[in-house]
Amino acid sequence: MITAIDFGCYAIRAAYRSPATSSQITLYSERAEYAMLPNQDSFREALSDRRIAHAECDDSIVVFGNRAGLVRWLSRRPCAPLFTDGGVPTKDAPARQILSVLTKALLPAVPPPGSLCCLTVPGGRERGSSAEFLSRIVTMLGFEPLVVSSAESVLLAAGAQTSFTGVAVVLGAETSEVSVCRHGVELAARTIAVGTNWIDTELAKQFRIQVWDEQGECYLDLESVRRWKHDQRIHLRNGVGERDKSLSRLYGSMLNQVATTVRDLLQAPQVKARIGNERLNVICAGGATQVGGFTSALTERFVDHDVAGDILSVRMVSDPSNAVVRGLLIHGELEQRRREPLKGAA
Amino acid sequence: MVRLPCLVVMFAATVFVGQSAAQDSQPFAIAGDVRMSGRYFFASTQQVDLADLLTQAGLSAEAGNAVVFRGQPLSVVSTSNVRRDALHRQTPLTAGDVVVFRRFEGGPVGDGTAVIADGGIPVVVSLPGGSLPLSEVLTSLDIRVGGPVSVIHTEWGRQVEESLDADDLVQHGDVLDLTAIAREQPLRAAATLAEVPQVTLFGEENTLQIPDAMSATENATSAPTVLPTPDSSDLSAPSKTTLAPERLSTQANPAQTTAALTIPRQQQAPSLFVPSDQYEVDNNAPIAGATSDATANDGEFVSSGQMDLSVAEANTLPEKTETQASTEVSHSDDSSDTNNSLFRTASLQRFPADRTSPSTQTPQTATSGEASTPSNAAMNGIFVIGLMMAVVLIVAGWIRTQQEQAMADSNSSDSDFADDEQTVTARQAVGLDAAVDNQLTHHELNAGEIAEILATTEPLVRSESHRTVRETSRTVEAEADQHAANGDALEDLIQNRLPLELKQTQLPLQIALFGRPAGPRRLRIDAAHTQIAAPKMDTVARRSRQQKHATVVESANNPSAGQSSTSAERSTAADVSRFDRALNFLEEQSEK
Repeated sequence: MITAIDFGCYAIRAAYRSPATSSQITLYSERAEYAMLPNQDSFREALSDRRIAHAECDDSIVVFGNRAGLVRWLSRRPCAPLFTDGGVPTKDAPARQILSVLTKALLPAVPPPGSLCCLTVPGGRERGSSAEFLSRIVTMLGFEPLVVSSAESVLLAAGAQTSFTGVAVVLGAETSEVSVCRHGVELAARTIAVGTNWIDTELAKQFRIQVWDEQGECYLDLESVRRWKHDQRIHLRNGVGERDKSLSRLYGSMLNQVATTVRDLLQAPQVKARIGNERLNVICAGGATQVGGFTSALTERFVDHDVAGDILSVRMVSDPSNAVVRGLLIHGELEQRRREPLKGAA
Repeated sequence: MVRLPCLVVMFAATVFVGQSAAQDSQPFAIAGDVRMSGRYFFASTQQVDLADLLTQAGLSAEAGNAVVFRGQPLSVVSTSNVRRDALHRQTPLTAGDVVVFRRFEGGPVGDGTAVIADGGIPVVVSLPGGSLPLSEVLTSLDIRVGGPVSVIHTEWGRQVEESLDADDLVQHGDVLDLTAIAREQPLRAAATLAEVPQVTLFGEENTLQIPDAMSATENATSAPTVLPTPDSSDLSAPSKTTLAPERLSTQANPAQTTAALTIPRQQQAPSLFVPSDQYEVDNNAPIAGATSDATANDGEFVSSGQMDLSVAEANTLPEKTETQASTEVSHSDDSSDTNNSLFRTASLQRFPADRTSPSTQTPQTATSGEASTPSNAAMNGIFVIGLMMAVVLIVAGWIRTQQEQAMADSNSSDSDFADDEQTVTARQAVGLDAAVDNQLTHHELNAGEIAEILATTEPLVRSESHRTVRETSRTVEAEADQHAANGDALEDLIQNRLPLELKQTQLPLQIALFGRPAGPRRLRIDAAHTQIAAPKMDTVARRSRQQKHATVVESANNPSAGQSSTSAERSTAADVSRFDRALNFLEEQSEK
């Protein structure tokens, strides 16, 4: 059984193909956040009555996953991320335990021996501690972990038309990844420490989109910013309001870094040696690419940074949110096929 | 009188058949600097690529820039540089995509074309002269807009989104997004703008052999088959007339007439606007060599460029009445923008059932009822057969719809409370926020009240989840049936053939965690000062400023002393800036 799990800072998605239902992919998805409620009997009873999964900590009740957004109004506090600053938190013990609980719930219960589980790590491969922590969780559940880059996965999922050659750009919540691949082999990659959470935070700060809890503590209301951003009328090129224009500027700043990174990667010696003067397709994935006018804005940045001559086209994948987990499954299938002859020979 | 209900039933059947056929095909629209702008319908089983569409439409230049628009409202999803000699299948399209191709150099090919999207299948219209005021375009579509209209103006290498007022010009290659307007004010059938023909391309052979297809398009000897694609939107499509500057009129002449067309610009490539629901093209028809004079009544034919038309009324068909008599048209088309002098030939024949605008349809029907003296029995027989076929089709469609609905309901009942997480969370948030606004106060709620609030918001979430699951299950059924035979799992994965089935995660109901959760980050805001302290004046700075004044005064008497003091200040300022730079450098290093 090939299993894949994408540890994203916005959501954790797991997918697998079971032999019983080989004609489809089973997908599980949970938000990577939790809500804190005061430790009161009324809350506990209400959650139990509604059969909402929750956990009890020292002085509070914690609801995690998709249901966190459902109950966060009870405490008037926004949800807390499971991955702080794009990595596994070191000072939040309940969050680390919740990660373990969620992973156990998302992956199949009884895997066959030797089952492979491809996973991505928040913050890219540079986060060695996160990769080690999450790999151990997967190992404890009976799988063999295999850490894969999210950009490489996207190219596997959506690069069949281009012979798996091109530039993959994955804009995540905390970090963005850029990878240059040729025939499925990664030539160069880089992780940028900017994601959509930075945009949301800056917008919330600039326009003072805040919430207060019962104690009067103030928090940035990032969920409200996200809801506003998901409006289909929002467009990077024809913003009319001040907030729209700020969003365009913030996106422009992030895409500047992406374009600069693409330019640097394309000028790397190992890329020049393999690619030569071939013009590459740019494949974009991630939740941030779903805003209107994204490809135009990215194309403009490529023109500004003199990279447009090396680019053949810029396109989004058809399912930006689930492209990574699809690519992980493909990677797992390839890895398993690669290992089968070795096992047979042994 | 007998035919009136028959006509109504046949009209409904045609709508039904049109909708089913439209569901079985993938519509695309292409405009810009291509030889044959218009709507193209590919088979639903076909994986259509940008190269396929460009091949069918015919590139007018060696190189250019193809922009793919998608979604509601339309947004650019792909920008590709296209070369005619290196056209590869690298940009897959999805149904409903709009493609605008702009070449590197040169003006528009033929009359300008623009795309109008109203949420349905986009419409490609002609702009005589290359541009038209927005007011005329909207008037022809029978739309009244109070404010500006969103238009994406395409040029080579860039797209600019603008808001056009009524007096602004809609230019060649523009994409008008009327999605928001069409929701409130759907496009009416009385539109009079000339629509570019739509082409139906069923079959896999259209996507293969790109170089051959390109050469075929370049030679223009085998134009794609123009078929009247039944489409619900076409029933309300604009009657095929043109706008004022080049509006022509034809007169129904019982004898053979000839048409002399006004040729506005010799350099433009010829374009013939053929209402696809009225005419069919026979590629095997002989070339009409005779130069024709202008006929054209009611603006049914619009032509620009070097094109000859000869219009002959086909009274030879015995079953057609005078007003329904088909008009055979043959034309020869000179591809003037290329060096070859090949002629494109086609024979056009009006369909017996004329589906033009309602204003022209009603009198035709009335006239046909009065004038049908010679072959009443034959006509009635045809109508009865048509009526029976329509009834059979309607019943079959109804049964199929019921079956699909039943299967979807059964699937949705099995998968409870599982749906797309974004939809769920968004709806949950919205629903709960509304509940909070209504019911939450600052006092503590007991368990009963909370459960009540959750219960009131739960059905909203549940209904949304059912809908999404139903859609997912439909997708699963359709794609699973299609690809169940394909055994290669890896190929299915790579080609993205396997649907995703979203399931609800089974989390443990109640667990215990150790430690204290960090929670969300608080926004650090300084508390308000209860007592504002007195301002702390920088006495040193004041003293230095006094010294500076003093030195200035002194410098008036002794210039050399003034110069020395100012240079000392400059060195101090330089030291400060150097310190800042060092701090910045340290910060950058620490960040790295």
